Amino acid sequence: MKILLIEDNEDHAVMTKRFLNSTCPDYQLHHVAAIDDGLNELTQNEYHVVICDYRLPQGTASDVLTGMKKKGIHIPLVVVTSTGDQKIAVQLMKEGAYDYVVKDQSYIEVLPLVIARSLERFLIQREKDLLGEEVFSQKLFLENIINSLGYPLYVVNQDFTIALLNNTALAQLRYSGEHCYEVLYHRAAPCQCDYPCVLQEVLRTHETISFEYSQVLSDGTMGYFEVYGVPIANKDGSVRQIIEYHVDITSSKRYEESLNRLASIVEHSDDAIVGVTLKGAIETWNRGATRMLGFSELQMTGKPVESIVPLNMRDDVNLLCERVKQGGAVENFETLFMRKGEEAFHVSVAASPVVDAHEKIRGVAFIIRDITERVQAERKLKESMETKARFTSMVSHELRTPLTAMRESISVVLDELTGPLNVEQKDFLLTAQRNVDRLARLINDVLDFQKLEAGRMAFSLQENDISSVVNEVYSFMRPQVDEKKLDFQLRLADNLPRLTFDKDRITQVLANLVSNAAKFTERGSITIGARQDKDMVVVSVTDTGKGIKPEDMGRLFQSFEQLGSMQDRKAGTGLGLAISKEIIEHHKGGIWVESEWGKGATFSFSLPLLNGKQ
Amino acid sequence: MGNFRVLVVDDEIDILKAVVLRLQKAGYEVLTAADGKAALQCVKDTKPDLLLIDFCLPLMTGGEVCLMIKSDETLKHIPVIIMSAGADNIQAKISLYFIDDYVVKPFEHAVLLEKIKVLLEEKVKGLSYE
Repeated sequence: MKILLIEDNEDHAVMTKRFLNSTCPDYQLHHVAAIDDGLNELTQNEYHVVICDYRLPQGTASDVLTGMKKKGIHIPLVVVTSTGDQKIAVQLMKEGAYDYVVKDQSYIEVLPLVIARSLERFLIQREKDLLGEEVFSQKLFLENIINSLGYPLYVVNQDFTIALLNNTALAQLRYSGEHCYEVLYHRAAPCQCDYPCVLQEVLRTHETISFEYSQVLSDGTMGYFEVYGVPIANKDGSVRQIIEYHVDITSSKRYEESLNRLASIVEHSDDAIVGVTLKGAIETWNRGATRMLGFSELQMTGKPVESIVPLNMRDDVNLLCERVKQGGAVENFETLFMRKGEEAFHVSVAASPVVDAHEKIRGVAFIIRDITERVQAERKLKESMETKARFTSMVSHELRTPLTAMRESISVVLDELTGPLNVEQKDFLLTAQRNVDRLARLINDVLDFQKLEAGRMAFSLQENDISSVVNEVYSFMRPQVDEKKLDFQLRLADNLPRLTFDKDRITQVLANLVSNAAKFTERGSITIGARQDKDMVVVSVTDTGKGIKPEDMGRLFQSFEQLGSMQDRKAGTGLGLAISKEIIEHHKGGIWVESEWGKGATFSFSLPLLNGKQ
Repeated sequence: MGNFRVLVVDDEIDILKAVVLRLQKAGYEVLTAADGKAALQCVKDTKPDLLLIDFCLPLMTGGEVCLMIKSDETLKHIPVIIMSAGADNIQAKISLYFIDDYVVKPFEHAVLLEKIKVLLEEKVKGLSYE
């Protein structure tokens, strides 16, 4: 690029020259000081741009413009003016100057931009003049189209030199050079690749070709592309140039792959997966469906989904469809489906919407799981639970009746209603009575446990006074505690709030705790306490027995557990705490123990204040 | 107390015997029956002051007898205590059959006597208000 600078100020000229040299090494700057020298230089040598100071010894830049016109030199001229000469600059531009720069402190910095802009305008203008207005605008139109393409497009000549690049290709270019193999692959000679070179293929076949290829992208993932080669032919049919463009198909390829993966999962699932249109016609049918329902995909595609549902269950399926159409999804819906041969079987169904790219519901997907085995197992379990419950209930009822007769008969004699007894007689009858009572408690425990296990224990939740329960237990457990010569204390907080609970059951729990404490405490005291703790009332029974080892704490509330060695065992089923736990949990409270081995234990349970009121 | 007549009904003769003796010694006049129908007839015939009746009985359950009594204007003032062997889930049946009170077998005779006493006192009070 050759630039002529006409400038009478030597300092300015040197400065301009140095700056352009360092920033734009492509520019060759020639300097003259006088108008005549400038015009001479322009006639003798070819220049691309003229930079001209406005005020010159023999005239102004205006004279240079006139001179250039006279000599038929049509290259851009940029005027450099002093500050305050803007009016002149505008006048000059009317006369044909391309641009102007005001000489301020940093004017040389904008010079390269001004030069480039002027040159561009000049080139466009020259092209316009050369081609004529119409052809030029057509060229612009085509260029715009090519540059708007999101993928790189190259036009390559027969000798592999590049004739044209679109903007996308330009932006992706990593190497410089004239040949496609240089700029694209940084090679010194035409490629010898594993896959055919598009250009060579087009040259060979004279036909449009396309193929897919993949390459590792800069982020390490695999990219997929489709390359097209299109021949531009001479009149005789020979190929003059080749258009080559690459379309990135990575995302659609990846989508396709994930789709294939999904399809394979669907296909190999043990569950039946059935896709249904909004109108209820079967659209997709996996292998699991064929296995489970006995019909092939071919047989079922297009059939109404109702054809795999027993008559009396069709409402269920319609309900599922409706729910999904309204944007919901249903899981673990248990109903009956029907396989080949009209055999109904138990299924668990999940129904979810099938949506298109615009999130619009297009259909319903059913995932159907055969739960025949589970249902049968559940039914068997339920039956055996019921048999057990009936049996236990029957046995305990049958046991209670003779027990009642024994108890009443003994107590009538013991109370000397039938005549006086001697001490020995009384002692033996007391033993009999104690053991009858023990038997009665065992039966009650077993029956309660059975009821809790079957979830059949009835609770009568009512607002009650916990203090009165504590007082009652305190008074009727007194004999048992006194018998072991233990100190029995009561620590009842004042004004305890009324709570909602089953009075009989909570009485049972507290009595059980006191009874346990009495059983396992040989000396010292037993204390029943009740206090409010935030939104709970906590009732506790503290003893001075031997306590519980840390490793045993976890087993305490399990059924049929009694701690310690056989010698330590006391009369009981080991169900008391398990039953208590169930009862307290039914009240949404907690039951727990605090103990230090050798120093006694505190068993507590809590009842929430809001129970039953929510 | 000698004024009060209590009808005790149980098909288990061993239980009946002991309870009868207990009540007699407590000063009550005791009548007995061994099935539901006989019990209802006896109530109608003798209008006892209180009925103590087992739930599971031949011919008519104790609950049904109670229901018949409570739906009869001339008998409904008679308090009824049910003796239950527990399996019948008696709590749920109290309101169903208009039962006044109940004991679960095997019961504490002191508790039973207390319940009888309370109901009879209430009945006397109720009558004196009328």
